[in-house]
Parts: sequence; structure tokens; C-alpha cells
Amino acid sequence: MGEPFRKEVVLKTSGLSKRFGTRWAARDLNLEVHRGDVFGFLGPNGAGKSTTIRMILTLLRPTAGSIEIFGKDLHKNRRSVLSRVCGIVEKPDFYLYLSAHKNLQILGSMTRRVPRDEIMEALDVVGLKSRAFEKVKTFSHGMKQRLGIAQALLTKPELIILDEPTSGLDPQGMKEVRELIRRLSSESEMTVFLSSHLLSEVELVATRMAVINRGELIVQGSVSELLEKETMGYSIQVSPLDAAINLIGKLPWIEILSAENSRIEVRVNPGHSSELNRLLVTNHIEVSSFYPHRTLEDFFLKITEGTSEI
Amino acid sequence: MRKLLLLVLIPFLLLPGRIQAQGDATSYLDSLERKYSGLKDYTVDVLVHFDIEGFKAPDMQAKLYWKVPDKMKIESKRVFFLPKEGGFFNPSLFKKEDFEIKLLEHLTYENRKAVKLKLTPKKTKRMTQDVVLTIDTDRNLIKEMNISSFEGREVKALIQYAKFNDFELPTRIELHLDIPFNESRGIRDFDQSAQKTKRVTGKVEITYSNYRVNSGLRDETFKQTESPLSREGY
Amino acid sequence: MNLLWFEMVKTFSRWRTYIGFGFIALVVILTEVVMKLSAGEIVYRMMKSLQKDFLIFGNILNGWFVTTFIMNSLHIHIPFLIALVAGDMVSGEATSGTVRLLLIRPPSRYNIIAAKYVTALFYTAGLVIFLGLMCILPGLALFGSGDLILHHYGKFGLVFIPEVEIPLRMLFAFMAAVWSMTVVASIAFLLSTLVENSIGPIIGTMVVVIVFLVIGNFPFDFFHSLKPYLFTTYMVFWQRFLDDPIPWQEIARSAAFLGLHSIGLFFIASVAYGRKDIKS
Repeated sequence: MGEPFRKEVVLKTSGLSKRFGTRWAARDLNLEVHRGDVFGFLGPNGAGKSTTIRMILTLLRPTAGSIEIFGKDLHKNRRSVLSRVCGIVEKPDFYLYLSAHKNLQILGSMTRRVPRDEIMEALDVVGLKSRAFEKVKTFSHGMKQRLGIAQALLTKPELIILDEPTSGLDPQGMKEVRELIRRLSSESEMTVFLSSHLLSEVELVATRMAVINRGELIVQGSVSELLEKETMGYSIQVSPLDAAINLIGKLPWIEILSAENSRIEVRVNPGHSSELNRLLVTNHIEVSSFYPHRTLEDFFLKITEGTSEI
Repeated sequence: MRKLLLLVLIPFLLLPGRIQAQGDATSYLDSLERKYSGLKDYTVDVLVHFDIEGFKAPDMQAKLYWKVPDKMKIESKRVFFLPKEGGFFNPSLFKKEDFEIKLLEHLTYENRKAVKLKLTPKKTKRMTQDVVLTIDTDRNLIKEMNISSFEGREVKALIQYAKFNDFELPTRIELHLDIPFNESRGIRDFDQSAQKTKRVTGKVEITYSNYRVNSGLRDETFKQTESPLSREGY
Repeated sequence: MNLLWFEMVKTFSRWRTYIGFGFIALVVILTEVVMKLSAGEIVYRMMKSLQKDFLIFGNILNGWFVTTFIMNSLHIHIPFLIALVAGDMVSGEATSGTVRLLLIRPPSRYNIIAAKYVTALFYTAGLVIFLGLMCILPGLALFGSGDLILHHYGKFGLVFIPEVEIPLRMLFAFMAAVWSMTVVASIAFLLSTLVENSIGPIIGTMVVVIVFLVIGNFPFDFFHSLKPYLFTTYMVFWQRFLDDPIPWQEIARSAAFLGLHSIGLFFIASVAYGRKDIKS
């Protein structure tokens, strides 16, 4: 798939806003999601992520602004647009008194007629085929989560919107969901829009992201580009320690955070990581390990605290 | 003194006349009794037509069985209402020993000689206050009955006859009703008396046909003489 | 059509839906057994005022009479059973959380609400018809058939309906009963769209019905003047099909009044729900 394909805008919000009483839950959001993206939608608790997702899925009426999906105004073309979209908002809840199969039949058929074998296939993908005809009330939380993904996939959507998809899952379950998201994006060319508090999970799958705080968009772009603009932390095992401190301590593009027991923790401005390594080696300082601390979480915490300049 | 004597004597002078009058009144009932003494039983088809305000019922049909002295049975495939007073012919209804009888007047009724008798039941358990009979003395037939009750019910029966097996039996009884009814007005008027007395008027026409007289009805036929509803027979 | 089918499946797959049917079966059977045991007493009391003037013969206490007798309490116990399901149609989805999956589907909220409403009406009709069958079939078996004598308590006179006319009149009467109960279903349904729990709509519906019934019977002129505007006044218009002659104009007026109520309530429900923010 070439670059032009990836640049098609699948979801676009313009000035999207929502007010509850006097409080703005979302204000003037301008989001752009490209086809094939795994779009991470991040923000602290109460930032407005769920509100935004609910507006996109027509559960909430925007106070202002517009939403376009596949180039069409959502509210004017609701039926045709939503037939190509699926979502899970918070935890997926099903009709507990019906079987997994019946739930999928009902929910799936509201988009298109779904043959029985496709339902069974979807259940098989999420590992629930053997429980297809049991009532959902007998399912564990993790099984319901998987069933939620099965119902999202059943209608073969082009855009899938997930609100906290790994919530309540064990590590194995989280891993499976991550793999599934990657597969959806790469193999099925599905665009995934997901919000999560587990930033490490988002970092592992997201290609583009947006961060909101107090209802306002803070930053938006590709994950790698955004993170590269940030200073990186490193943990370096060196010997001798004193010589290393003397060598790098006065450099303008580096900050020593701590130094003890032959380990030195530093923060390096963008673009100087390789220069640091070369400097240590050429000055005969033994470097036994050199690994970065830079993560999405650091980035996220920093920008939501308002300490970063983008 | 003379005046006092007259005052004392006059009732004695009138008494024989009064006794004579009483005797005359009784004699009319005696004549009736004699006329129908040979009537032991009859079976007849009854058709009842209602023309009473608020009484929306079609004509009702039944077969009526009667046997002396007062056995009666109704046979009907459907629900059947029969007026209690004057609904069927019972010649032993007006036994002189059951009533105080008073001759009211002699009159001409349908161009025939007739008398009006007032009958007041001796037994107070009955609700009937009095009955005024108009009897055709030429043919010894009760042509008209006016029944009044203590509750203010007025029923007037006009009777037509024809001959069946030597007995003159009713072919048509027309009842004119004027009865009080205590209507419950519901809780709306709780501050007023709970019931309002209303008078209901109307007419019931009873037609009798296909008489079979003295066919020898057995007592077993009347095993269930009355409907369990009709606890106050007359 | 699919939507309607799925709403039916969802509604009739729940055991709670059958509470009403079970309750009706129990109450009707019990009532008919008691009536059978007390037959003479019951009819004597009912016909007491007429027995002063008439000898009464025949099978008055037949299956049709028993049916009418039980149906006269229709507006007392049936509304609760209707509210039990209709009041849960929309709010139940919010309580269970399934609303989040349901409303993000392509069908519009109006279509979904309409399908739910029709399902609520279907349940209402089913409940009333079930009541009818439970009254009529065991009633005819226990008490036999016959003409229908209707005597209004506290009033002189009676209506006598020949046996041959009864089945068709009863059919119309039950259709009218269904029609009147749709207003109750509509109230419960509207309340269900406004809240996110089922208890509120159930209690709310019963409060409305009871308050309106009480207001309509208050012995004061002011409340009496309100009576023509209360839907509970017309809820018993099914009884008019057992009148002679059948007052078609009065029936049409009552049916129109109740129909307007149902339509209006559904309209409000669909507009309110169409604009509602789903926060649960």
C-alpha cells in the first residue's frame, strides 16, 4: 500500500464540541484519522475521550462542529456511514439471557444479513466457538470482551472504534487484543481508532495519535514523529564513573539525573543519542549497557502537565 | 235521647247489610273457585315481550307447567324472565280465607256486568299491600288486577281469555308496571343520600298458546319448580 | 422488519415477560373456581333488585357472564402487567448497557424505537387476548354457554344478549380492550425512554392510572368536569359492545380519544429519545 492510500482521511472532526450544562467536555476538536491508521486517542481521566467517541458513534449530539466519515457528513448519511463502522464503547454489554450466537445474529444483522457460518467464524477468531450457544450470562469478563470484538468484526467494518479495548483483561488477553488490532490494520486494511489509559499498550500498536486534556486537543500526529521531538532518557552502565561524569557533565545537550554504582541516568536532547555513545567510547570510557527510557507515557504525562513545548 | 238511641241503633241496623255485602264479595271468589275446580293442571307455551325502560331484552319463550294447587315449572332453552305478579294463571291464588275482601263497586266493564273487589292479604309476611280485582260477573272471569305493594310497586294486569277444554284460560296478559327503584349513584354524591329512588314504568305482554289441559302432570315434573333465584315466590 | 423480529425475540426470550401471563392464568382460574363454588350466591346478589319483580330461570351464570365479570376488573390489574414489560423496553437496554451496542448500528433511533413500541403493543395485545381465552375457554367448560344477561349494579334494567351474537361482540370487546390498554403501554413506554431504570416507568405508569381513576371518581364538581379529558374514563369503552343497541358513535369517540393518546405519547417518546444523549 502506497503513501497516497494511507493519506485518505477516514474520520475527520471539525470544531467538534460538546457541552453539558456549563462544562465543556470537548471543545473545538479537529481530528484526522487516515485509512489504515491505528489511531491512539489519549488523555487523562475526564479529558473527554469517551465523550468524543460517543459523538462519533452518534450516542451524543454535538453542541457544535461536524463529523465526517469516509468523506460524508455523519448526521446526514448516518445509515450508510455507520454500516461501514463498528465500535465498542466502554465494556461491551450483551443480552445476557440470549446465547453468544443469538447476540451476534441480532447485532450483526442490524448492519447486514450475516450468515450463520460467518457468525461461527467470528466466534472462532476470538476463541468462543465452543461457547456459541451458551447464554452470555455464563461468560467471564474477558469472554465478553472477546465477544465484543467478535461483534465488531462481524459486519466487516472499514473503521473500528474501540474505547478501552483491553480494560479488564489479563496480560495474555491484552496481548491477544494487541495482536488482533495489528492484524486488523495490516491484513484487513481496517482503520482502528482506539482510546486507552494503558499508554504502553497504545505505544505498541498506534501509528498515529492525538492527546486531549480538559476537552481540548493538545497534540496530534504520528507516534514516532511526536516522540522524536522529545528529550530521551537513558540508563548507561559505564566505567570509570567519575571520568564519564567529567566528560559529559558540562555538555549543553545533556542533563545528568543520577550517577551511582557505575550507572548514570541522563536526559538527552533529540538527535544527540548516537553522539553521546560515540563520545564515551572515543574517550576510553567502557560502556557495558546503553538503553533508552523514552516512552509514550513520559510524553503523555509531560504534555498533559503542560510542561512540553510542541 | 232520641239522637243517642239512633246513634247506637244505626250500626246495628247497617250490620246485617255489611255482613250481606261481605258475603256477596266472598261469593264472587267462590264462583271463581267453583268455575276452575275441575282444572287440575295445564301446560302452555309462553311468550314474553318487554317494553320497559332500561330493560333491553328480546322476546322470551318458554313452556310453563302448572298443577293444582300451586306447582309451577318453567322449561326454557334460554334465560327466561317471568313477571312475579300476574305472570301466570293460578286459579287458587285468591282463596277467600287468605284475604280480607271488600266489595268496592259494581260496574260495567267491556259492556259486561262486573264488580271490583279489594283483597287485603291476611298474612303480613307478603309484601303485597292489596289487590283490586275487576271480575266479569257474567262469565266469572278476572279481567283486571291492580296489585299494590308496601314498597310502592303498582302492577296492573289486563287479561284476555279463550276457551280450552271447557276452561277459560288466559291467552294474553298485559302488565303495566310502575315500580320504584333505588339507584345507587356511586361515590360522587357521597354527601347526599347514597340512593335515589327512581320510578320505572313499562309494559310486559305475555302471550299464552298451545294449552294442554288436565293432561295428568305428575309431581315429579315439578321437582325443581323454581329457579334457585326466585326465593320469593307468589 | 428485521428490527421488529429481533425486538420480539429479545422480549419473548425473557422469563419476566411471562410473569403477566402466569399471573392472569392463576387469578382467572382461581376466580372461576370460586365463582363455581359460590354460583348461586353470586347471581342472587347480582340479580337481587330484579328478583323483586321477576322469576328468573336459565343459566345466567354461564361462561360469557363469567368472562364479562372478570373483564370488568381489566383496568385494575392489567396495567401493572403491561407496565412490567413496556416500561422496560427502552430503559432496560440502558440498565443492561446494551444500549451502547444497539444505538451505534445503522438503523436510526426512530426505527429502533418504533420496533420496540410495536413489540410493546404486541405484548399488550397478547396479554389481553390471553386473558380473554383464559376467561372464555375454562369459563365455558365450567359454566356452560347461554345468553348473556348484564345487569349494572345499582341501576334498574338489564341487557340481554342472545348467545348467537356473543362471540362476535366479545371479539369486538376484546379488540376494544386491547385498544384501551395500548394507552397504558404507551405511557409506560414513554416513561421508559426518559429514564434509565425500569422501576420508575412501572411505578410511574401505575401512579398515572390510579390517580386518573381516583380523580375521575372524586365527588366534587371540579373533578367531575375533568372526567371527559381523562383517558381512564374511556378505558372501559369495550363494555359498550355488550350494550343493546351498540352505541357506535360513543365507541368511535372513545376509540379516537384513546388512539390520539397513544399516538401522541409515542410521538413524544420518539422525539425525546431521538434527541437524548446516551451517557450510560
